[in-house]
Amino acid sequence: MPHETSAAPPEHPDFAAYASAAWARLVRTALLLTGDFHEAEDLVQTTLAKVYARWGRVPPDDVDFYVRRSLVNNNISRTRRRRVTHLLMPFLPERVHQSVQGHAESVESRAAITEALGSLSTRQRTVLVLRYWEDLPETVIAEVLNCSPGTVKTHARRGLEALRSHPAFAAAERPHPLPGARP
Amino acid sequence: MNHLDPEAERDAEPAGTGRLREALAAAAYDVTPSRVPLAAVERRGRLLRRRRRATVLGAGCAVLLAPLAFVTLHGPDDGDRVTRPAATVSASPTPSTSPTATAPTPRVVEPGERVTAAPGFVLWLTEDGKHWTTPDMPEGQFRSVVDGNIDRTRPGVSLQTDGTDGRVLVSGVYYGGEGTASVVEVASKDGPVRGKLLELPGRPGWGVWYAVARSDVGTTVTVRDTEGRVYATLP
Repeated sequence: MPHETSAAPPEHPDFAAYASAAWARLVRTALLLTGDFHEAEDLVQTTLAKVYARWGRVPPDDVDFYVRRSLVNNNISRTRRRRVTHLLMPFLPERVHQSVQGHAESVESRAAITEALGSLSTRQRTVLVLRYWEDLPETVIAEVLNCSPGTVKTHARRGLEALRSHPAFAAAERPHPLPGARP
Repeated sequence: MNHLDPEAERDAEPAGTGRLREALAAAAYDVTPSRVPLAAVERRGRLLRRRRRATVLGAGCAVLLAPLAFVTLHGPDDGDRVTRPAATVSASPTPSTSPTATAPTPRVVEPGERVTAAPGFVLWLTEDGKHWTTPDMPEGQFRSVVDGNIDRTRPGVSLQTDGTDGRVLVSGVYYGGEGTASVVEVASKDGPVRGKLLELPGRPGWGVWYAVARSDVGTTVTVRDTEGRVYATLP
């Protein structure tokens, strides 16, 4: 990690280096947390802005943990706000960035896992993403979510059960998707 | 960077998680992130920092003026009444009040009613759960009590910690205990810190506690009922 041991001022150039290096990975993680590419980029941008505001206080040897926890907390807050938005505006506008021609299988596969993840609670989804994408141990996930490792295990178990029973995820697991499974 | 040491845990993983890893990786790498919008990030970050400093400055003025205003309005012997919102909560080693007769009860608030625990540290309850803002997270955070992630049939209490400029803002949700929750204490480096309790009308079986500490707090939280018995503890 390219960080000094002393507290750096917010203008420290290392923030730019860190943000540039971490951006792509954070967006991919945020994509799995949100299910939407644009929301993912917005989420990461918000997170990095908050990190920048406190860059001098971020422990230099723990930047990844700090950023990850901020990302997760911001996503939980975003989920809450979106839930309210859905109540106020049940007919959401169509997404325009998913109608890419070609790559049909990958698009279907991504849609399947996204749809299946969308059926989970925010915390179950977060645990599965941190465990099986970020590859974090359960103890670290517990610190990120500020809960006990036992709670993490419970979220993971229930999340996996829900995923396995979700039709979209189950269909995507088959070697050849069922004809007509998706319009 | 994001792979710490998962090998030991992988051995004990449920079957089929390998496929999940592959599916997540495929979905994650199916997009191509744009270039990092560094200028926009730093611009928003500077705005947040200015806002936080303004809040801290205002808080400092409030701290200086609050004792004067309090003495002026209430006199020196007015005691500690718990039913009104207080700005800060100080360390209190041992509760000296006798149980039941003078035991405090949670402050009952309406859904959405804002309670300011400290400048920038605002909490409110809805039927869905606990909401709060801190100087660092003015957008607000939320912990649900209805998403199935907590078992409200058994006693429990959670702890969320937000540190800012020499203060530690701690809060959480308590639920599932017997009796009426009365007091909460969280361990800190300077001794136990007494917090305050909020509940919605109608005894919903859960509530929110909060406190402001001036030093690092531990992870031990104890909620007691009006009889002095343990309502719920963490861990």
